Amino acid sequence: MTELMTQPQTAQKDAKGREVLLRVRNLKKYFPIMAGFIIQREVGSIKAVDGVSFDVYKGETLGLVGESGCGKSTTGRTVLQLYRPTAGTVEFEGVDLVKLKGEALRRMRRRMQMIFQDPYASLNPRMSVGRIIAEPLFVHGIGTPAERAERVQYLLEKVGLNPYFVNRYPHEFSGGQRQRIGIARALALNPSLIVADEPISALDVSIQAQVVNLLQDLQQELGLTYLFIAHDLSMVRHICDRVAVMYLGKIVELAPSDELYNNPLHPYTQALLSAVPVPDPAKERKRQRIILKGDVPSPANPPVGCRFNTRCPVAVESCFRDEPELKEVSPGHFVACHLT
Amino acid sequence: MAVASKPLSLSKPQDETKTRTPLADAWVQFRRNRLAVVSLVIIILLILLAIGADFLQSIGFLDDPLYQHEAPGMTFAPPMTCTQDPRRMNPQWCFVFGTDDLRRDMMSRAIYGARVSLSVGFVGATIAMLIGVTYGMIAGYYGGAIDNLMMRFIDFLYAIPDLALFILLQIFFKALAAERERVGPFAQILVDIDRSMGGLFFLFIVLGLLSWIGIARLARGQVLSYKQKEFVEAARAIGARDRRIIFVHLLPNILGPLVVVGVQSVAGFIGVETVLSYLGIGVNAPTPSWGSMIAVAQNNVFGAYPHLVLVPAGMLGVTVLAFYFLADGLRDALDPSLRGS
Repeated sequence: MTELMTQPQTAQKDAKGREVLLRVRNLKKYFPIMAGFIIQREVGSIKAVDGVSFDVYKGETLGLVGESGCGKSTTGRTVLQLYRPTAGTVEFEGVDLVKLKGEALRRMRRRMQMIFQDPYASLNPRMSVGRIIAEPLFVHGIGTPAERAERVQYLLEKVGLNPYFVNRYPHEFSGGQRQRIGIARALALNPSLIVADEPISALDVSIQAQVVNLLQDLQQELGLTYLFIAHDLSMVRHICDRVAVMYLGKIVELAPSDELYNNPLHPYTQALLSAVPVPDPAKERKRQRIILKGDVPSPANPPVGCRFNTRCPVAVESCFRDEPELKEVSPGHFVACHLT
Repeated sequence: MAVASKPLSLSKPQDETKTRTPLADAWVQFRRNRLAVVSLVIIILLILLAIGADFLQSIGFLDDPLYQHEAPGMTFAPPMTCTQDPRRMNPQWCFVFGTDDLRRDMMSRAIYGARVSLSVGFVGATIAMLIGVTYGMIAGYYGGAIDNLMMRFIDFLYAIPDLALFILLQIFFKALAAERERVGPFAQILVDIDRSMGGLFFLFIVLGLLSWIGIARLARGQVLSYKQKEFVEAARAIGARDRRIIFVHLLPNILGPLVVVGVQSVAGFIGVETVLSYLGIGVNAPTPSWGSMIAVAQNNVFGAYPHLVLVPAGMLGVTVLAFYFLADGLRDALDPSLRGS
């Protein structure tokens, strides 16, 4: 099992000496819209992710928030190459995953794992818990059956499940327990990066805290790095070091958690945060909600200029003409808005 | 979540006995359906009879199905008649189900006929499952242009009226067999194989030709719905190869409905074989088959001798119904979403 512990030494450092684990540059994922009988042709594309760039530092949790359909899940899946990107680079531990194919990519998957949103759909109903958790090891040919069984016992304990459950099947567990099984599977290969795609949004509120605390404990203990996709803003603030806000396939604001929550600069972030209730009656009474008008435009045909201009309460003329770039307005705080 | 709050208590869970594999679970569910269980028993008995027919003949329980008895004053003997046949070593013989027009024992013919029907049914269903599942899964899994092309080909096959094609092909093969001396060496080998199997070989080919399209469509649909599931994506995320995803993650999950349709199709193939043999283009003439037995009844006065049609039709009806009820029971047992309905 020692090979699980080895880490490729290809660390990259940024200007402040932090180690960059994942560097995403100008990532695009377009899904083709096909039409036609027998002979299909492409008549357009859904621009689910349209030019996203961010870094994830080793050991941190980067939150990715935004409303449904803004492309945050697609970003996570494209980073892991579950969807192949249309353009852009995904540098993970110094290797550009976009250029990898077949066996090389398959071997890279040991270093990066995913936790899924729906604990009912993400476990194969025909496999016992033991087989589910051991599968990553089996697939990569790691260890003997006895060693794998031992590791499964270890992982089950690690995620707070009774090791006697190995021979049970997923349908015998509750949602929270199933999510723990999914986490154990993600941990099996000792990855350095875990993309958590709304890991708690399908769970009861009482269970959410348990799972989030488990994720945090595991991060401290195993030195994990999370890309945490969510739409629950208070949970994101609790767990994330930095937060990126997405709107219609683009990042509109990226900042350290506290900075983002205390000093949101993009009108979309301001609107999002104004919807979060404050657990302080005095402040809560003064809270002013910014209600956005209309719906998110179709990602097949995004608006010209700033993507938020159709709903922005403060849009000016240049917003309808030029697309704002993601600029660093204060150290570590990036905003894509003409008005800042 | 009582268990999760005390995660490290290593005491054995109380309800250890409740843990069942999905297959064991399906069996428990299947046993509840009496009709399906009875059908399964009937089918097993039929299979045992068909396999053990030669043994039953050797102990004198069955007669040679081709032997034409020569007893004085006897044609169309009704059930439960006993005669002396002076030509035989053991001349006393009782016809439990009577005889046919050539004074052959009906019971022996009916049981030997089960050999033809069951082998056509099982071989047909096996061919259909093998080709259909493979074809459908490839189309569904790889999708896109491959899927489009493969499915249009199936649409084309679907447009062919199957019974007409079966009859046409059987007539062609019968002609081939009749003209054995004038065909090429490859065709001669085929004809020889067919002769040694009593005409079953060409039947298998003809039935196998179109049998798989329904199952292929079903398999494709199932793969399409399952490959969207997160556990398949999870398998890809951990680095599983296509082969593993297909055989370990997709196949076990889609097999239930496919097995149900496969078992149902056994009844269908038995029906088609009966029709072809009834029309005289099924198995070769002396080989006993339920279809050709019914044809004999039709050629003669079965009003006076109803056993001529009742025996083969009864066997056919019981067998076909048994397969349908078995499929029904399997559907309830293998598809948890239908439980309780």
